[in-house]
Amino acid sequence: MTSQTSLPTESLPATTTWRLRMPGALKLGALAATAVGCGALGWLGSGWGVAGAVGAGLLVPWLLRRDAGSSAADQAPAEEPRVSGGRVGAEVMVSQVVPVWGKQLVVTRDAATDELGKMLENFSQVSGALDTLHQSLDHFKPTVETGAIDQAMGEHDEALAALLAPSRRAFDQRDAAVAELSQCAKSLDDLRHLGQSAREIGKHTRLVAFNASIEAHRAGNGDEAGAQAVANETRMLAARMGEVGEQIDRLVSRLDRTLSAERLKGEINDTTPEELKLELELKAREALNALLGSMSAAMQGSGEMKAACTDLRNQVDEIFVHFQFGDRLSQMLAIVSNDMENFARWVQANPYATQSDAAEWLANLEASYTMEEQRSQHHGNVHIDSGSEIEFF
Amino acid sequence: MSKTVMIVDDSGSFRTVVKLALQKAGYGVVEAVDGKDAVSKLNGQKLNLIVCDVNMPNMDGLTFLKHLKGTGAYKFTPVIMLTTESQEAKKAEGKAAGARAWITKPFQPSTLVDAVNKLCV
Repeated sequence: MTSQTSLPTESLPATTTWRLRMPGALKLGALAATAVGCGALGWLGSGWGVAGAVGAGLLVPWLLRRDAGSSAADQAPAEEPRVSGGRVGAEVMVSQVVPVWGKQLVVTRDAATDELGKMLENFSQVSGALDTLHQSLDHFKPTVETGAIDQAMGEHDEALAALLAPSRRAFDQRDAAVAELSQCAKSLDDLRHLGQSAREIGKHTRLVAFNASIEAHRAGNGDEAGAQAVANETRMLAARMGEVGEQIDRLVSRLDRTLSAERLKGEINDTTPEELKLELELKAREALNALLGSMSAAMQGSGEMKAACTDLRNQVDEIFVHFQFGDRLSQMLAIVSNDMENFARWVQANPYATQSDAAEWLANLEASYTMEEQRSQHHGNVHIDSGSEIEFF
Repeated sequence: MSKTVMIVDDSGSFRTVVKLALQKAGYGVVEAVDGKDAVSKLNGQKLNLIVCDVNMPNMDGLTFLKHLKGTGAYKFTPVIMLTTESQEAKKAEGKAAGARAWITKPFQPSTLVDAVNKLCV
């Protein structure tokens, strides 16, 4: 940004007969710096505007007081300016005071530029982080539409099969046990038949023993005692055989009752692998439904987060726009600083200014403006910012 | 491969704001601090568009624009002037020199990105 001169309109009394004496030029310079600086501050908003107003409130009355003190002298016949060491007094003042102001402006501008740069860098990082977060949230899209569970079940069929495998093995073992129990029941039937055979053998043996005893008495050959003993023994064996048969029968009946109950239990609890799979799928659906419900809640939360993220990004974009006004301040300070240097040099080269000089200064100043605000304020008008404009050629 | 845009502005803050907006929109960015710096950084590299300020030290934007349009390699590279300058005379000068658009500061980043999207070759 470049500029040639700076001399605000309000600092030039229009009715003054121009033969600007050096003390007046000094005040003029001070008023110019005050007005332009405060005007620049005013562009940045109410806070800066207040600061500018306070500055103006302090400096302008002081400068005007000096004017009032010298007004009598101004109206008196022109006096020769004071001369010090061959230089006009105000020329000396301007050459020494204005550069100090210039340095202050430069230091302020540099500091403001540095700090603005740092803030901008920080906000850039915030903006980048928000972009990253926004992209992450964009990619977080769990499926909860209709059919999502069927799709998930289809995609994870192998996992479900793996989950079923131990149960399948258990069912196979159960079926094998039931088969063994059935085999045992068959063996018990065989055993029951054996018991019945034993009882029948016992009956026949008892009958044989009874017949033997009768035959021994009928023979009467003196051996009936021996034959009777054999008949008795045979009867005892028959009785014993009958008891064994009955015991076998009772034992078989007891075992059969036990085995039949277990077999009944097995049959009642009998579940086919297909039924097991259906049951497992049902449970898996319930679990998935609960899981997707939680995901849906998480999605709702992420949606709110995304909305907040978008809002923050918009706010950061607005901050970037406001930063541009901060940059304008820096540019204006540079312009004022440059104009002050030019002004000081001009005053030193032209200790006696005329009204035409002032008019020329103002014209040059206006020609140097780059912003519409500057042009408006140059003529004392209030500029209304129309915002960003774009024109395609 | 992303398109490359050169930003020419003596204000570091403006360059940063423009760079952020364009990078977010997927563009690669080359920076130059004024027209003279921009000329030195052309080097025949492929530039899809140039965003240029008007009032700059060493070489102002309009001078740079005229230099650019006189250079064969960049004769057809679109240039957007991004400036506080809003004088019609300046705009006319920019248009005559070959600028494709004129955006006044302060600008909305989205406005700039829209213009770049529209003009970027």
